[in-house]
Order: sequence, then C-alpha cells, then structure tokens
Amino acid sequence: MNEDNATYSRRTFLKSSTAATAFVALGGGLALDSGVFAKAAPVAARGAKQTVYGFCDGCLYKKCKSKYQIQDGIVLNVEGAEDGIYNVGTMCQRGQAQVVGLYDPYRVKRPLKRTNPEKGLHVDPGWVEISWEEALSTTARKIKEVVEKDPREFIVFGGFGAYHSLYIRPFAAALGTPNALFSPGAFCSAHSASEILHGSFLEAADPKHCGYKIEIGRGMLCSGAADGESLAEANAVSKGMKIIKVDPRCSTLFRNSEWVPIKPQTDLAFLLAMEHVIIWELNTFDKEFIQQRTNAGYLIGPDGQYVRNKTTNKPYVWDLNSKSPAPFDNASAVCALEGTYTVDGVTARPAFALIKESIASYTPEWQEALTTIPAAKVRQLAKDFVENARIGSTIEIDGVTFPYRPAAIAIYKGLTNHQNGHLGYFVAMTLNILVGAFDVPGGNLGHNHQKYAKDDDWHPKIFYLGPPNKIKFPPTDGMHLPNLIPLAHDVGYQFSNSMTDLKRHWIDYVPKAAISYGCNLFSKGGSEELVSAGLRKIGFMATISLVFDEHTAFADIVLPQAHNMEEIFCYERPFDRPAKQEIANGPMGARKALTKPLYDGRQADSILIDLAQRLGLLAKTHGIAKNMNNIRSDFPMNTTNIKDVYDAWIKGKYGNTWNFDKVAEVGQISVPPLKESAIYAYSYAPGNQIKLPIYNIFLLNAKNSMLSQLRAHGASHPAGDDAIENVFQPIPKWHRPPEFTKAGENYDLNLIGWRAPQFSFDVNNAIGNVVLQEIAARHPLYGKLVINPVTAAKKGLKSGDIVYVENKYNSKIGPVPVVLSESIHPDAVGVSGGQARKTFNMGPANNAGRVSWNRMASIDWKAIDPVAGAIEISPAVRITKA
Amino acid sequence: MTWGNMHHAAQQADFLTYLLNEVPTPAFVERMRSNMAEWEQNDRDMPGDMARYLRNTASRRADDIALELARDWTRLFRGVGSGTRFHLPPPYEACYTGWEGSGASARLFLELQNIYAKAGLSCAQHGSRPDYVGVMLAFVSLLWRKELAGNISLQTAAEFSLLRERFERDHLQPWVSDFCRRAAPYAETLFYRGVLEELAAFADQCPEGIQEGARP
Repeated sequence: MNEDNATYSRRTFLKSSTAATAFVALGGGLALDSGVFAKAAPVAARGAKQTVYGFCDGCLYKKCKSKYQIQDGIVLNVEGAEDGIYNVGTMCQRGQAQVVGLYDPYRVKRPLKRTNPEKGLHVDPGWVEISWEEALSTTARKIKEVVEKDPREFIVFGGFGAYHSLYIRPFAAALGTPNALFSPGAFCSAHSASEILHGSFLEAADPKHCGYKIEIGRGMLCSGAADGESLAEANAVSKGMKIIKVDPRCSTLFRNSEWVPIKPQTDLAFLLAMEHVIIWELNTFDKEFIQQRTNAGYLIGPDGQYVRNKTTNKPYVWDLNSKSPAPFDNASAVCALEGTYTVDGVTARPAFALIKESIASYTPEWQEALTTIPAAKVRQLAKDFVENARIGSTIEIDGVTFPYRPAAIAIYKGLTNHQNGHLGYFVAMTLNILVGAFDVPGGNLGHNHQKYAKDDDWHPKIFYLGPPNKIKFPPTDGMHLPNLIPLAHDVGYQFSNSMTDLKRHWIDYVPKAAISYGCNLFSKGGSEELVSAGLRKIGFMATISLVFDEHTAFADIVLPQAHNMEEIFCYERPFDRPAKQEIANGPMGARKALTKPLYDGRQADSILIDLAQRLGLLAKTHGIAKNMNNIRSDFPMNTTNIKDVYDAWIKGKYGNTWNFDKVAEVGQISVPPLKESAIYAYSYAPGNQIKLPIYNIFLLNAKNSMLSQLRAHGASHPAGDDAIENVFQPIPKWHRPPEFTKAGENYDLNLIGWRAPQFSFDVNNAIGNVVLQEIAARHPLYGKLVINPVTAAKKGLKSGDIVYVENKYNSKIGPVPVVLSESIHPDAVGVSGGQARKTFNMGPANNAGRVSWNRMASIDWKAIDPVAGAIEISPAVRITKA
Repeated sequence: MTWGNMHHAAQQADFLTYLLNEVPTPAFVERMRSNMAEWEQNDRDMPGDMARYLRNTASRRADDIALELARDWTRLFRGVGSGTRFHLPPPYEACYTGWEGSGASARLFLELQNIYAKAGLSCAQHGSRPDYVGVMLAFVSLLWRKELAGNISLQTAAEFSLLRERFERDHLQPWVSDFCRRAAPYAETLFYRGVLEELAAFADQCPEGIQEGARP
C-alpha cells in the first residue's frame, strides 16, 4: 500500500516522517529503558483479596487494630479488627478514610528543592524535583555547617505528626541542640494540674464506675479518638452515666445529659463557686480523704511556705490528738484543717483554712455575674456532685477495699486554654479531691503510667513536664523558652516570639538551619505573620512532608514522607486515659508495609537514620543510637535499618520469642491484662503515703524562683510581672483574662473553635482528605460562623448574612456566612476550626471549609497562660457585615 | 494505517513518554538542542513552540535552561501547589474522570495494574502512580513496540493493537486533552506549552481500527 493512500486517522505528531526518524535515536525504546515499566510474567486475572492486620494511624493514639483488604498490592478497604484490644471491631471515619489519604494525588511525590528564594505561604517556591541523594546530601551538609559552629543554631521541629517517631528527639539530642521544638502544647495545655495532683500526664473520669460526670471544655465522644476511651464512655452512657456539659457550646448530648451554657473564659469562676458551695454552704466533703491524702493539713507560714522541722526539714501538720505540731508523715496524727497555730515561733495555718478563706466571697451569685450560670443551678450541681460521690462508701476490687466515689469532674482544652486555664484546671481537680473522687473507683483517674512516685514531701512526682521550679538566668536554653513557662508541654510556638525578637528573649544566637517533621506552627499556634517571619529568618530548612503543608511552604528541601500504609511501623501506646478497654498491659502494634510506595516517599525515621549516618551520628560512642539508649536500653546501637530497632524494641518488651514479623502477623499484642485494681492509683499509696498538693506549693516556688532571678538582673517576665503574680498562685483566685469580653465593648464576643470529629489531630492530612471533607460538609454548621439568635437579633444579623470577624491583633477572617443556632452561648461565636489551611500549595480539599479559626489566635505574651503556655482559645472579636 | 505511520505513532508515544517522565537536566537540554540542530540541517522543523524555545535560549547555559524547564515540568506534571494555586489537578486519570472525587482511585489503580499485568508489565517507576499520563504513554509506547516487533504473528500483533486501542480509548482520550487545555495557561516556558499541545493532539486522535494488510 502506498503511504499517501493510507487510511491514516491519527494526526501527525511531527511535521514530517523524516523528523520522526530523528526522534527514534532520541526516544527509541525509552518507555522500557527509562524504567517506567519492568517486565513481568503476564498475569491473566486479578489476584485474590488478602486480609492483613495492622493498626490504624488515623489519629494520635494509633491504638485501633485494623483489618486491611488488599488485592494485587492495592489497599481497597480498612475496618476495625474484632479482636482489637481497644477498638473491639470498631473503626471511626478517620480510620476508614485512610485509604483516600494513601492515594491522595496532592501528596509530595519526590524530593524537591526550592528555586525561588522568597518564602511565604502564598509564594510559589519554584519546586524542582531532585534525587534523594541530592536532597539528603544537601540537607546533611547544611546541618553539619551549622552544628559545627554552634549546635544551638540548628532546630528540630516536631509535633503530633512525629509522636510515633523514635528518632526525632534523639536526633536533636545527638546534635547537641536544645532546640527540639514540638508544637502540640499550644492548644493542649491540659496536663499541668494532672501532673501536679495525679503525677500523671492525663486524667479522665473512670468510665466503669462513674455515674455522674461534670465535663468542662471537653467533648471526647464528639471530637475525640474512637479508641478505648470513647468506647468505654459510650458504654458508660448506655449504662446510665449522667453527663453535665459545662461549655459555651452544646456539642453531642446523650440521654441523661444536660448542657449548662457558660460564658467563655469563666470556668474558673464557676468552679470556685462550686468549691464555695461544697465547703461553705453544704459543708459536706470527704474530710478523712482530705486529712489523710492531701497537704490540706500542712501548716503554711506567712511567706506561703510550709513550716518545716528545722532538723528533718519535714513539713508540720497540727495534730488534733496531741494538740501539737507533728511531722506530716506521722500516721497516727489527725491533722487540723482549720485554726491558727504557732510553731517554732512562726504563726501558721493549715493549708485548708487558707483555701477556705480564699473562696469565702466566691458565692454562686458572684459567679452568675461572670458566667451567666444561674446561682441556683450552681447550688444544684454542687449538691448533685456531692451526693453522687457517695462519700463514705467503699467497694472491693480484687480483694482491695477502695473508697467508692462514682462522681467526677473531667476537663479538657476548652477549660485550660485561657490565661486562667491552669487555675481552673487546678480547682476542678481539687473539687474531685474534696469529695475523695481521685484515683479511686468512680472518680477522676490519672492515666496508666501513674503509680504515685513521690517526692520528699510525699507529693506525686511530676511524670512528664519536668520540675517546675528550677528557673535560671538567662532564662532560656531553647527558642521555646522552657524556663519562662515552667509547666509547659511542647510549646514550640514560642519559637515565633523568640526568633522575631531574640534580644527580648535572651537568645544570644541566630538559628540558621532546621529540619521539620510532623510540626505545624500555623495550625498549632497563632499569629500567622509572626510564624511566617520566624520561619523566613531561618537560613535553611528541610521538611519531611506528606503534603505541601504550611511548613513545607518555607522549606528549601522537601523530603517526601511515605504514607503510613507504605511503611513498616511499630508502636507502643503513647498515652492512655484509663478505660476498661485499656486495662490491657503494654500493648504494642506492628504493621508491615501494606503496599509499595505509590510515589517516592520514605519512612520518616529511615530518613533521619540516613541523615544521622551522613552526619556521623550513628557512631557507637556519640551517636543517635546512644541517645536513644538513654531512653530504652534494648535498642541496637548502630543500625541503619529501622526494622532492627523495632525487633529489639519488641524483644526487650516481650522476650526473644517475639520479633517485628511475628507481631505484624497479628497486628497487636499485649502481655496479660492488669488486674482491675491496678488502674486505681489509690492502691499504690498504702498507709496514705501520698499527699496530694491541693495547696499548690510548686506554683508558688516557680513564681518566686522566676521573679527573683529576673529582678536580680533588672529584667521582667515577657508576660508582665503582674500576670505572673496573678496566675502563679498556690491557691487559685479569680483572674480575669485579658481577652474577657463585655457587652458594649469594641470587641464584644469570644470566638470559640472546635474541630469537626473528622479532623481531630489532623494526622496524615485528614483535613485534606476529600471523603472526610464531604462528610464534614453535611453538618449544617460546618464552615459557617455560628451565632446565637439572641445575639444575632441584637446585631441585626440573620442566617446567610456574610460577615468578617476581627480580633484585637489586626487579624481577620471571612467573608463567612452566618448560621443561627441556640447551641452556642450568646456571648460566643463559633466556627468549626481547623478545616481550612493557610497555604495555597495544598490540595483543594484543604480550603473547602474556608474559615481558619487559628488566624484569630494570638501568641502575644499578654494573651497566653504563662504557667502552661496555653494560647487563648476564645479570643475577643468583633463582627462586621461584609 | 500504514507500517510507516504506525512507526510514527510509536515514536510519538516514545517521545512523549520521555518528555513526561524525565526531569529536565543539562543533558536533556543538550539532547534537545542537538536534535533540533540535526533537524535544521535537514531543513525540517521541530514542533512549533518547543523549537522556538530552544532557538530563543540557544545562547544560554544548559544548566540554566534545565533549571527553568525542570521548574515548569515539576509545576505542570507533579501536582505541586496545583490544588488551590493553579486549580490544576496533576495529570492523573483519577483526577479528571471523577474517580478521585469519589475516593475510589484504588479501584482504578487495580484496573490499570491488571491491564499492565496482562501485557507482562509492572509499573516500576518511583514517584509516579499507574494513572499518571507519563506512565500511560509509556504503556502505549511499549504496546506499539510489541505490535511492531517482527518476531510475532499477525494475530498476536492484532491482539496488542486491540489492547492499545482500547487502552487509549478508555484511559487516555477521555481526559488528557482536558488536562492539556487546563495546564497550558500555567506553562511558563514555550517548550512545555509545545509539549502540552502535542500531547493534546496525540490524545485527541481516536484510532479507527487497524487495516488488515497495512502491515508489511
């Protein structure tokens, strides 16, 4: 056939056939030569579906055992495994949507380098794909240059996204930098009072025995993890537990539940009034518990300190039997709770007497003016709380007789994230203690790590946050300023304050390089402009990134992270709250890679190991493994294979009969369950050898230490010495936060935010998950500004109006549509927070919600809680029509 | 279709495969320049905008050009910042045919893998998923080569032809030109504007069947 006469329907790609010949030399056989495809034996049909076990990485806890359906290497489905220790066959929407995240087209595919030196959330970085070798060698070289000069100038950013990493913190330690800056604490300051009173990182109501719970700023069932705790709470509700939700917003309610609306930032006033009613009006509390297991009887001198025996240094109590001072650990002494005594020439009063005196004026009527909760309601709640605590009753579990106190107050971030947040938290825990409902069946419990290690004064030893009273000058070792926020938990956001004003924060070096993994100072912080300015000042930053998030917008090198389903993974529960499902002892999970990497990502710890090797940190005498050995003695010293580490970890915990592969076969294992009695820390202090410090001596000492050091050097605390005086109190007093609002003021409403349950923790880019976004969008309030109808009427607003929201710090969100709802307090406006991101580099689903609550949050020192570092979670705002 | 035209189509697919799967490097630039020079010596044109770009940049260093092209390539084909900045999903079939929106791209991957496996191939490239246009073009290119190999029977060749045509019809033509049209405004170099144009042209052509006897 003549070519001119050919039936030729395909448009000629080239202008002539001879030109095509030229391409043959260029492209001949390229498709196979370039490695896009490999030869394989022809397969006529699809393979069979396989079931593989592992555990879910859909939230921080990673506790739910999962069952994956896989066909020909493609993950098709995930659901809960029936024998999961925590989830017992259930799997929440976040877990089920993980497959969509795995196949997200907007993930980082290969290593990238920036070609545009200008950095910003809305600046095109000019990414260019590069090889892993170029990416890692460039990153290692930059780190080495900086660390050799001054290790402090290198920053390791981490966060919730890196909590399962074994290497991120040791990597920083091995390099000798104090700047391991973790971000979660900004909105997660719910640990300080639990640390002091429980000696535990977390607390919760006992879901098995508690029958009456007052929940403040907490909504575990509507926004928390779908793990053992939520399941246990759901079971408790179905068995009749009553939940009183004290909150500016009515979240999920259940039968037998009640919502008590409260004005934002006034929880402390409500709790002080509850304490007033119990002590002054009802005069009904667990006196025996208070006398025997707290420092309520410790004698306090005029300086606020314990009056101590000059020889033994033991604090005194006043023994009512002998009518004389006695050492606090005298088991036969019955300590006085009231009165004034003279000991060794010092006038002293029992701590309880001071506490009682301090709350004398905090009547229900006083609090009503602040909280808007009717005085009668407070009296009723206090009475119900005391009655439900069944003071005097006991229960026998495993042969141990416990006080039985089936009532508890449980709190969370909605209470703690105010400048008076630590104080409110402390009073809430004190109320539990007042009725004896503390670490006993039915009451408020510390989490499973807690076994009441105690200090010389028999106070619980702080478990995680570190000693709160060792302040030095200059008051910082790191950009997160740990010495200025003594009970802070991972307040990496302070980097933005310190980096943008080094002198003010006593930083005498300039950070020049950073690596960031699982950290986001934008979504776990506020003051977007300061964060941007701080990150821009770092000379070089590499990020380990799953998607193009906000930190990645400031990266010079991007190292693609494999999705969790593409990587081998091993975990030990990070932290648990007590729940029946969590009596399981020391469970570990392991999971093989479920599929080959879809793109070219690598497991984050493997990336860190590679970098460590290039930096010479894996050496036996001074290396990353050495630093890890300080944590776990059974880790291998010098391996470059993360699986070796997992093997050693599992063997160290379960013996040599187990290894990674064996655990991965079943997904999750645990040693024999604990006895039920073991979860109640009461049993770890026989003979009342624990004294819960309801008189907060730690905070007093922290304040004294901090202010004396600062004043000796002519300096002031950046939060202002007045604020320090107000909130570092051994006995909590009402403190009006700076963002408190009043009608008629310019900023007259408080903006509250909450995460839709689809996005709690935002691990593995849940916010960018199209399916989760679709589900969230079905909620009528999602993506809108929620206003109480009464407030809307006063402002002439109706549903559908478009408004802007502005804070005191010149930040603004909107335009956003208004939706009216009686589920929010009239003094508050609300937005389902966290659903919008701030960089245009991410996938389209990330901005579907339009409104970013974080834009309204401020990290200004005047707006935070200097005790725990909490950012104000309900900033004062005003609304203007668009 | 004649044997010669079949060869052309195979070469087209091969060349596009190269362009879509290679991050431009100085060697890439030199290769392009050398090919263009060869064509010019023979008094022939390289496709429009690609040639114009190479002529316009002839005096610039290859590494500068490579960086410029690599930036454009990464932006257009790797889905960086394409979600909200460019409103341009990456060139994955799932993103343009509704699979992605439904969260069901895994089923598409399974289907594609199965097609590749039937041809004795497995996707081996790190960084690309099975529905990436560059991977699909590579598959088409390989099918062409199998089809044109001299050592197979007519029946086998026809089977490869049918597989290729079905693949093009089902998995390339429904969306590739749409991608090219949406991507064109974001191409910062004439070179990739030309590549997009040629890619669209390739995808727009619907095979109308093999004429028996065309094969020599």
